[in-house]
Amino acid sequence: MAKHSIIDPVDRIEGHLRVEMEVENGVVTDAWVSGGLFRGLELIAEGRDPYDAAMLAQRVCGVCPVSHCHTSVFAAEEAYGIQIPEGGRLVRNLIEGAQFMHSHILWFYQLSALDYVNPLHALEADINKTYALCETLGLAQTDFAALKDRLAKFAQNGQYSWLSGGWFMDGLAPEAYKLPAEVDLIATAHYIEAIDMQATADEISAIIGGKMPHVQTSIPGGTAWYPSVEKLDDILFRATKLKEWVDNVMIPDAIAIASVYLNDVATIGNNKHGNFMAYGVFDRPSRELDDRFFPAGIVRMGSGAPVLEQFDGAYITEGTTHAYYKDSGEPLHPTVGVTELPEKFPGYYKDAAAEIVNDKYTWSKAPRYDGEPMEVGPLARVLVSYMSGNPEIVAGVNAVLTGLKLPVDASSVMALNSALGRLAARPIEASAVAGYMIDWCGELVELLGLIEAGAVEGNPWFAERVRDTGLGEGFWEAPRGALYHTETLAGNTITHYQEVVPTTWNISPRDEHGVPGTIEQGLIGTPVANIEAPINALRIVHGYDPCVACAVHIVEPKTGREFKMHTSPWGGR
Amino acid sequence: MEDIKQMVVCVGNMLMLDEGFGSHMAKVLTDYDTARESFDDAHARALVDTFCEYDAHDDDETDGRIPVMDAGTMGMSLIPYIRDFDRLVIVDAVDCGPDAVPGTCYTFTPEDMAAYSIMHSLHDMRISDVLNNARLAGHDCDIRCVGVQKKDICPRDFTIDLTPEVKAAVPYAVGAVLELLEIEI
Repeated sequence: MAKHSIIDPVDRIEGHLRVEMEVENGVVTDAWVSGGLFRGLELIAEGRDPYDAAMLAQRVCGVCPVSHCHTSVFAAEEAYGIQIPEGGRLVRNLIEGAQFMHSHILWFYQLSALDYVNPLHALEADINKTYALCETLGLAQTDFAALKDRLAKFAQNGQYSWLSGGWFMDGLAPEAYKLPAEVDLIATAHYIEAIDMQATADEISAIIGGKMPHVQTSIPGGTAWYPSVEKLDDILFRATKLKEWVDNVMIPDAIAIASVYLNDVATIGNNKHGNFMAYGVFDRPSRELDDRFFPAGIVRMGSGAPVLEQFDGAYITEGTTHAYYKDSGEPLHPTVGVTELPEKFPGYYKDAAAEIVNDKYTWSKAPRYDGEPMEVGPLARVLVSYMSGNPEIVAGVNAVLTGLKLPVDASSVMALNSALGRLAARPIEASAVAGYMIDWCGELVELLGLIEAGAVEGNPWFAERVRDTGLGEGFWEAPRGALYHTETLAGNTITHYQEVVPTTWNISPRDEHGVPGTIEQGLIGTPVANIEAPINALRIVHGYDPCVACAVHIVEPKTGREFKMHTSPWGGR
Repeated sequence: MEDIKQMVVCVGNMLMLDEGFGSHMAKVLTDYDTARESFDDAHARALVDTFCEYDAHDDDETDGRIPVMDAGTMGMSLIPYIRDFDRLVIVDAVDCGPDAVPGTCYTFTPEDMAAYSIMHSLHDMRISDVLNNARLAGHDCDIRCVGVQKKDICPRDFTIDLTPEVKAAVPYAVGAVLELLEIEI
């Protein structure tokens, strides 16, 4: 008999997610991932103009609004029959880059680190050893003695605050935390520094976008924000600070943490299907998807060494067989996709007492590429970039593999199809993005020089539309993966709007053939020693940074034991 | 005293009757007409000469006056101010239990507030949580609090005002603010 294990809601994510797993002999044998939120933004966009849609669409999220805004304007620009000028392209890349920096630092420290780092254990750290370890790891140093004192005071007054969301607190999974106290102390110091770094990244978004979250200046046609040398200097200063911090702190931290947990993280979270997809992000002058800084592509490594394929958006479909929506019949391409509410909410359980999950069990549709589930996100982008020969990503991946004392070969790349790969992908990307941002600042300063010299024809920042009826598709990437918007325009009014967001790919339910989605497949086979503390499952789910407020549910039918975790999305329990 | 950088931070939601006490106090300290509702002409003038509205873009140009911020319902966003100021006086409505008399004015420190070990949500943020987190991050600040016992914070009808009992406490609360700032006017 199987046991069910439930984490509901999953904490330290953005939104509402429930994960229910069936556990047999200490291993997950089946999983259901359920998104608890109806999005409905597509319905709001209909009947409005594309400028409104771009402003509204980014309200879907406070973490990746910039990506939603950009994907919406890309769709509008295709419908309008225009391509934005060079200045617009660079400004757009720069603000998107700032959002990637904010999101990756946020994920690594605030959302993920407490699955590996025990800040209370840091109180046992030896200060001299901590400095020596920093030296060995090549890490930036801080006043660790003062931090330890402050941490002791923080813990002693009994108001644990954000620590109360950590699994180490209640001794739920004491064996699961393995870092030496000195590494715990170093990581705690960086957890705090990371908050300032996120603010630094968001300051760049606010300089360009007027405020953050929800930027005001990225519009169909280009940018409403025209840079000056002074503003670019403000951005360059911050991008340089971020680049140095990621290279000297975040990457060494990732290696230090991953090397201690290597046997844990490298063996869990294989998505089984081995399919990875990226639409690509950060345009080059060609505007081609597979020429982007992080290019579009499909990597398959389900059977044998990784292979890179070209991406073709025509192969995307979404099915609603197991989603709460009114059934659309055959899976549809999103340009003709339907988001129709059911007449009556079917409910998550078919039989709540027996914990039998309904045939329809989530608000997430089932997206497929050529009929197959895909993993999207930082790992997918890193694998596609690596296979495409992006020099910064190749160097970053090889440096991390070397740091972990793994061979730099195809077998190690395949081992990244795991919680390890998702842990490593964000620091690797963050370093590359910060470097690109520094370059883009330089290119914009050059462009300003050319404009002043009268060498630029036309408006370098904005292009007027040439038609107001047509179909547009936007392919782009949010920090957590491949993002798609499509709109159909008639007389500048949207008649049809659909979004396929990254988390939908990852938290997808079963499709019409019963094939489970990416996280569902990734959870199957996970060892769960204690169904009341399924920390490995949590580590896997966090690896995808699902952008729905989230939950995981574990049940053990044999004993009737059940574990439910109720948390606020930000971390308290 | 001259070199201490201090600010009055008024906290509350003016749509929730007495919960808006902080917001009202921010106006009393910086707006002559509002001050006149509770004080005579001379005292109201003295208040607006002593305090000014906080300006995030120009926080050094106060002409020697003490900035007052209507912080609404912000939580962790207070940390940048804790970092940049030596002393904050927080003004808010409080609930000291069913026996407390509405309009009673208290002064206290964040440490006086009841401790609890689990924070349920960022919407549950208390000033002591904010201060704890700021201290952990290495930022410290002398925080002093003025609280007035609420009567009603759940208005049935839409209103922007205070109950008479709580409004009557304004002179006492202003006196407490001046005392905590260690100034006389």
